[in-house]
Amino acid sequence: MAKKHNESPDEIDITVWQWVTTAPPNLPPCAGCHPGGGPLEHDREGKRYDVTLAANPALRDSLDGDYIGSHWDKSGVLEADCLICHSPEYDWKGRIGQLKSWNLKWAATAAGRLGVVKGRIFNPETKQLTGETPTVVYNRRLFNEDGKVVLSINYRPADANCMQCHGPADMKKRGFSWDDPINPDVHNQQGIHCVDCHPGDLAHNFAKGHTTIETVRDDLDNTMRTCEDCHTTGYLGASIPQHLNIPPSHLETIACETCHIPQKHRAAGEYFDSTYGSLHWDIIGEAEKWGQPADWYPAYEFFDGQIHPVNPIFGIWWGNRDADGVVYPLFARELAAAWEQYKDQVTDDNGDGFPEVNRPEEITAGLQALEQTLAGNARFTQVHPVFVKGDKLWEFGPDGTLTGHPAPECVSEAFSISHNVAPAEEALGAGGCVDCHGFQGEFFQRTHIVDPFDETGNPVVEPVRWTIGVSDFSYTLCAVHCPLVRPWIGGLIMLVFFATTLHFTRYGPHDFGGRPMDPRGDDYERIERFNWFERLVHLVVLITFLFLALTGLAFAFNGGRWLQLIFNSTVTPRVWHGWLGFVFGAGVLLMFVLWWRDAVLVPSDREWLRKLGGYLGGHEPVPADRFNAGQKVYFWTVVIGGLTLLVTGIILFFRKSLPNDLVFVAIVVHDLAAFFGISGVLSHIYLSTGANPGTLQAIFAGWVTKGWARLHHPLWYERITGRSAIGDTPLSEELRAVLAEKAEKEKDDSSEQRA
Amino acid sequence: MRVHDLLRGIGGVLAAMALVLAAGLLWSTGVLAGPVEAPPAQVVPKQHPPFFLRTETGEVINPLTGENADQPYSPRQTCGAEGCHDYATITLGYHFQQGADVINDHFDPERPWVLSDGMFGKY
Repeated sequence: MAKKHNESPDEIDITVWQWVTTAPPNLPPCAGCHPGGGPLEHDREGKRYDVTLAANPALRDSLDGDYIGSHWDKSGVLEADCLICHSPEYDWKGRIGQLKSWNLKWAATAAGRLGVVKGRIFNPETKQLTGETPTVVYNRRLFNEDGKVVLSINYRPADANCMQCHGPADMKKRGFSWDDPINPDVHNQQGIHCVDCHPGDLAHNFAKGHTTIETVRDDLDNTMRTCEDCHTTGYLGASIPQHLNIPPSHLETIACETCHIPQKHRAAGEYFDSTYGSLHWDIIGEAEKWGQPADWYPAYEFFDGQIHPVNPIFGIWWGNRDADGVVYPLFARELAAAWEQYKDQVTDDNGDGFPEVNRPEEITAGLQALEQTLAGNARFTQVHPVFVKGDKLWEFGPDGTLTGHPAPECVSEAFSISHNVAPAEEALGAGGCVDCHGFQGEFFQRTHIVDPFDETGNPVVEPVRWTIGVSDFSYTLCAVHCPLVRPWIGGLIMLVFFATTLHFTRYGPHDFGGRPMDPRGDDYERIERFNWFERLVHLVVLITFLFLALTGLAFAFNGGRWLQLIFNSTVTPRVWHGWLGFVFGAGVLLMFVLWWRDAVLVPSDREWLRKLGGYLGGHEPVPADRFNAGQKVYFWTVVIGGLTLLVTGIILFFRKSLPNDLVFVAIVVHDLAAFFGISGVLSHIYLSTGANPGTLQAIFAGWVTKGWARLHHPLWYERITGRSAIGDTPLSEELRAVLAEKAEKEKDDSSEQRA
Repeated sequence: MRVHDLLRGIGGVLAAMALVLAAGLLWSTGVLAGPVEAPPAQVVPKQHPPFFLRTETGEVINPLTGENADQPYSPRQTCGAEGCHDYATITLGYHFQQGADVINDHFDPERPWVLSDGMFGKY
């Protein structure tokens, strides 16, 4: 729009007068939708246009952006037309006709169908003033005998009134339609109206959402009823979904619209090209016009901390880098003048009927033409034309060669999509994780255009996952893990159940071949195996692990329903999962400090490992100190696995602040560590109960019998009691040798000490 | 003694759990914000009462008597007549202003061609 104050006609693009009255054939002027009042009634200094121009006709020939070339004195002004929103019979096309005929103050009467307007100030076909002053012939049947008019007026604007303007405008931007069987919306089908979600007040400020581009009146952003406002309260009969099959993290980072508007069914704009001096729009898919039936998928963009569906629209445009370094978009008339000079050098490479500037020689021709046509243009102090297409800005370098490079000007306008909501059964995720995460999932595989034309005239596309920070690595990792690994690795847990049951059925309790110990008098005496602090740490780790395992499994398999039995929510256990994870991690670290010395593997552990601790049969006890080799291996597995869970859990706890690649890796590693950890703990529980009777109380009460210690941990027994564990116990030759060597070493040590 | 130690250990665990749960509760407060109260249903008048159309100067239009019968009606004078509707306030709404309330020749120094944040002056 032209500025109010200008120093040269070159500075003036569209004026307020043109904004109100002028448009290409079959298109409305801007004031077709802008309902009057405000800037259509008063100029930028608050004066009525018609009164001001009548008093000072010279303004028409001035450089005042409000008055240059205008005829406000004849047309009158556009007062706010209340009926454009409140009349169910409003004739919007009639309004357009009045505006293009410059019958501004007659427009409300005609479009309100109050009567017929005869005459017009301007003939848009001949582009001549007619010299007529329009008159009105009212429809007398609308009037009572007292002269009052009776109109059908909606207190709440009807959807059709909203759609007069938002239909065409938002179809182009977003493929939006309403009350449309081809492009339906479940809310529309349920009888919800525009003002149900966008209520207004007496000041006529309708409640707004918060979209990617709209910037006017930001103070009203997020004042409309959101999805949550209705779908957590049941307002207007809205369903209250539980989303129990959706991981809670998804609900935090993905906007409702992303899953619930999986597809659009009316064609929107894809990119526009201003090369010719007029906008040439390319429409999504095979459609030739906006609004034609066409199935297409939204792209996605991070906005307000969530992934939102969008329709990114690229502009192919030309500008001039002025001396201040700013690239000024060129006016249509400036582009048209240049196009006339080089259009013969541009070919239609993709055969769509429109020549496109895409090859270096064509770009060069365009820039050279602009260098000539912009020479002497008073709005620039320097002529340095540029061409913006896709992800590159093209210009001549200091040496005169053509260069294309990324630049801040290379941005698409991504229009957020929030209407045409599909039924829940069609939402992404209704079919499980593979709706998005599998190699067959469409979500991460979709592409969007980043450059409308390559050098062959074909569009350059890239996966939309890149725009939301999901790299190919993350995508592949998740595509393998979620649909292929996670469901099957869960079977590992069942396998542990099966294996332990099978082992118990075959071998029964571990009694070292069924040979009884030679009883000793003190075999039933108790000795302390774990002190209170060790037991406390183990208890903390056990309790937290059980909570983490149960809740984690629920999250992993998307079956949070049972969690509601306890927490009445699926969110609360997730919060606790995070905090208790820190307690678990601290417990694992304490366990490491307490027991790492006892868990160092020594040569005698080889025999235990070779005989698998006698768990697969055998009639001989095996050497074992405080911990046997199996317990040592398990201990280090717990330490490493626990720390892995802690580190990856911390990453997931702060996931919003970390790169997606790191978070995705953490998810996979966390899952794997948890699955193996749960399996290990199940085995651990079996070994400390059914497989080894008399063991369990050691970790809870702290004591074992000397007989138990002599059988299960002979080396530890000797160290604690000072007595030989050998006796008549059927130890192996190897164990005898180990014990004898140990006894000899201790004997030598004591001799040295005595010496 | 051992029983005492065991009880003390359990007490410690419970205390730790209580602290963690309290922290979780505080954390979840923001997540579990209370449900949004449903707004009251709007009272919708059944029908707009009959009214006089008025010209730009506020004179009544009466096609039955021929009074100003060839003049277009003025929404400002008609709807805003006798204090029925606050035309001045209504036209300050953003649908009417669309950036005109902030339009300025120097609105955006980085993009000097942008004169407002709305459709009137944004492009």
